Amino acid sequence: MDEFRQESTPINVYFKHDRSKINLDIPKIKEDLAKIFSHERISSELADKIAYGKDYWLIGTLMNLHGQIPAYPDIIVWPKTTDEIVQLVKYAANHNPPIPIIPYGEGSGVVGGAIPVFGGIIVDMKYFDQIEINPINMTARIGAGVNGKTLERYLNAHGFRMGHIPQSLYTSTIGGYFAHRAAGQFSGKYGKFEDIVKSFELVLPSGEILNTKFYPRAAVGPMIDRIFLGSEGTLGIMTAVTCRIWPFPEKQIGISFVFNDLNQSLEAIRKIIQGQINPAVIRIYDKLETKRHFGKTEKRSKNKYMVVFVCEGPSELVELEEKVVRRNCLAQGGLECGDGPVQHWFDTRFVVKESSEYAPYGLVFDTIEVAIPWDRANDLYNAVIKQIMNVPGAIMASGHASHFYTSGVCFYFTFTAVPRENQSPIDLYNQCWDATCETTLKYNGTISHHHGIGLNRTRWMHLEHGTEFSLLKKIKKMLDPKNIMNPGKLYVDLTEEEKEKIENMGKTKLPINLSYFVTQKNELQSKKGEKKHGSI
Amino acid sequence: MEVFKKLAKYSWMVDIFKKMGKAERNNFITGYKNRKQYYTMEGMKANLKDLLKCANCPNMCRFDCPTLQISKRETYSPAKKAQIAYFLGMNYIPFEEKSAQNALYACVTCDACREWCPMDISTGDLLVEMRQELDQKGLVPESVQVLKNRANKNGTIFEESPFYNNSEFNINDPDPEVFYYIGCMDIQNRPETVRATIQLLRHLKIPFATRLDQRQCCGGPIYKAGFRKEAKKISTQNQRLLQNFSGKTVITNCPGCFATLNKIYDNLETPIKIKVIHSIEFFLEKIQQGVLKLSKPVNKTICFHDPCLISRSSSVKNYVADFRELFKLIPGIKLQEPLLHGNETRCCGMGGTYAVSNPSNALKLHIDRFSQLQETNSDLIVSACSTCEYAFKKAQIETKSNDTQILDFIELLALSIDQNK
Ligand SMILES: Cc1cc2nc3c(=O)[nH]c(=O)nc-3n(C[C@H](O)[C@H](O)[C@H](O)COP(=O)(O)OP(=O)(O)OC[C@H]3O[C@@H](n4cnc5c(N)ncnc54)[C@H](O)[C@@H]3O)c2cc1C
Repeated sequence: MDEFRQESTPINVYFKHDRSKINLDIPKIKEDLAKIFSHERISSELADKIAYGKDYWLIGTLMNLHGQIPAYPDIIVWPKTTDEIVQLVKYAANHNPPIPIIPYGEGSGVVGGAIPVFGGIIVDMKYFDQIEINPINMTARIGAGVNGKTLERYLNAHGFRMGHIPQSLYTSTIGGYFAHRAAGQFSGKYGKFEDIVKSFELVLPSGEILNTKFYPRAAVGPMIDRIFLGSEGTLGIMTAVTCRIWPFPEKQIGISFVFNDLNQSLEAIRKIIQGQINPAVIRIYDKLETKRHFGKTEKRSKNKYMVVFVCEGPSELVELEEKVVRRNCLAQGGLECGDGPVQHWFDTRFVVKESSEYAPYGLVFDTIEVAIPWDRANDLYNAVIKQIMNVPGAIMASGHASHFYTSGVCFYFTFTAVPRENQSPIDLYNQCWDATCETTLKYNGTISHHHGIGLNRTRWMHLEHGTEFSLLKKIKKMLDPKNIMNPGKLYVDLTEEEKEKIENMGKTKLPINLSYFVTQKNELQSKKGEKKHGSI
Repeated sequence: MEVFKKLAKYSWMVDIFKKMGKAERNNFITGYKNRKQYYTMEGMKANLKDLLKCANCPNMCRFDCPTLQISKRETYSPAKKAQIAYFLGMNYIPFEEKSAQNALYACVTCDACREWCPMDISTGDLLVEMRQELDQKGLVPESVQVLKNRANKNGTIFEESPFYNNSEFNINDPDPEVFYYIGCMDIQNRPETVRATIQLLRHLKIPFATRLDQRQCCGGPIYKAGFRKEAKKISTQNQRLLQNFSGKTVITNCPGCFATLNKIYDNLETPIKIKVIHSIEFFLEKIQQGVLKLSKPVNKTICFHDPCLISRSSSVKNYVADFRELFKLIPGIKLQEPLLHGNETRCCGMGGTYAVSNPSNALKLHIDRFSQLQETNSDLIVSACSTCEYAFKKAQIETKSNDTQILDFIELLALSIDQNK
């Protein structure tokens, strides 16, 4: 079936993945692998190669329309034990040439992270499916291949909740959350995945097993475990994690407000969070998204910014949270809309059908999530929307904010663009991405809040990290000298031309937002006179 | 214009349209007009449009897909099966490709996918259509082809037809009120359920007919295997048989027959006019009317396995609540739900001819579901489908756990009636 190979498709304009350098004797490799895995857990069948050749990066979805696949793996294996992974990794590293190894969860990643750009062996982790609850420590030991919904359903049935609820809950794994530092809708209360993970087991590219210690907290020198969270399969294969869990919430309430402008809604939330109140869910929708999601069900939302909150936990706490949320929102000019909009959000939060419906129309679209400190949040939002709309062909740019911290916020932008005649949809797609990342970097924001880097954002890595990046590359080189783990992602060197282009973007001056500094000054001044009781 | 009408549904898009530059608008309209190129292939009857939609979805139903859960193969997740089927349908891969064929049969057609689908798509239904394409091309795998040969031979999926003249179940009362449509799996593997049903009908003094001398399979499994022509031959004959029936109701214990007669027959253009109901509906009504009295306490804890075909939101009729109601009415019954129940039930592994095309994985599914039910530590495992019960009995033998009794709800009913009253 080799005539079906279509590797020539330009999947990424910035990197050329030259597979021809890795010439593998597949039958021989399969024979060798049969010493590690039983035969039904090794495949190089066409249907499997197609299935594992794509994740949920939009480019793959567009290629589907043409019967194309971003990149084929050569072989897929399904390990059942850590030891099998150890043997596999050692084999791949010692093989001449070294064989790429790509861990695979459920392929819901949206940045091309699991795409085997150089071919090699996909390691599907689905057999790592155990869940074990420790009700005393309130932790669960969870296999890397456990699906999010399966986990939460199981925990709920036993009276617990982990509370990591990404929109992809139904179609993603613990391994993917770990690899991408994922964030769920209820992160305000339960934290992001890095807050949830207490310890883990991971097979290093050398074949050594890293078993990090489980402790409530420690001060025992630098914590190297953090390097692996977010390493996207490039530093090893995670097999199991110990995560913190919580009692199933006693009470849950929804409350919503509409605001006339974005800044008011941001201010309300800043005050809530900095006032030490953490609703599980907070979401601000801009005007376009408010119309899209709530236009039909909440008449008062017309031309407004909708903000929904979900508070959950012990009753007394939930009541207190509700009170403080209401006070702050009303103080910032919010109009209370009850729990109707929240209910609507609950009913529709897993409805995902845009790609299915709009891809055949020849449109390009995607979502981009970035993070930014409060003092630049409003400006970044405006600037990104403007820059996307400046891309010729862009027809829509909108956004919502869905994760909040004492120091800042995550914006989640959505864009749609129509390619011109003979224009490559991928070019147009990249232009919209460039507009967003460039603007975010100008404002000294962070180019990904939770979707990660994958293939798509690798070109921004050195600008995002600055001096950290060379250190990161050294760590990669030390841990994975043969570059077997998920090659082509995160650490790729840019060509001079690409470097110049991207660096020029980074150098552009940040426009100073005077209005914000005035607010800040006023706030400081008003605080100056306040006398605090019992201050230390 | 068609495009604007369609978009009116999405009023939030109107502003976008209004603001769009002329060039973008023209490009948009051209793109919209050309959309069909992505799901049109001459001579292809399968629903390529929905296959593409399913293939481009991030697989939001995968966690409840039994064949994926048991095989651990991404390829057998609903969206990937749809992708493979779409690639076949669009001639991107040849139908001869065995690994692609296997993907078409890696489905129990339990509709768990549809339960979670925002587009109301049943991947199973789409795959069945593509199996029909395989049949047209004479490429059906040998293991499945057996079913076609048997259908042609005796109108059932068995080597020997379980329907015959002098069967103990061939009962034809004068002026029958009810047509008792016995499933072939009922007779073949769970004759106790047929006896219990007959006992209840007799207890109620309801004249009924089974017409086993003229019966065939409902055609459901034959249809799902992809043999449309053979299924239609059977459905045409069954349509005639039921049309000639002078009574009011057809009852069946088999969710497969129930779904086939009600839904697939429409699809095969042989609709059944007379009302076909699952026996739960019939007997529950009799209990609620006070006609059927349940007086003997059963005194057991039970765990109920909802059969897929009568439990999904998208089923012809969803009997989930009826069963719960029934268990409240049987004296001495305490219901203990397994984790996956009601419309989120898990298939036993017998659906969609999976046990024929993939026997070893089907057995794993029987065991998997059986152990989920066992986790409730109930005295009895109860279902409402002979096929599911057969699967659990197989699992019980395989796992050598013979202590839990497996019953049909109809047997439970028979246990709680006092024959003398
Ligand atoms: C509709 C939709 C909604 C989404 N919503 C959210 C959201 O709300 N929040 C969010 O954070 N993300 C979201 N995502 C993105 C995606 O679901 C996450 O990135 C998720 O963490 C990926 O998990 P996966 O199991 O599918 O990983 P995959 O896509 O299979 O893999 C992703 C990366 O992780 C690596 N990897 C996988 N398993 C392992 C392992 N065991 N060890 C080492 N590396 C591994 C892979 O090599 C790859 O680089 C969404 C995606 C979709 C399609």
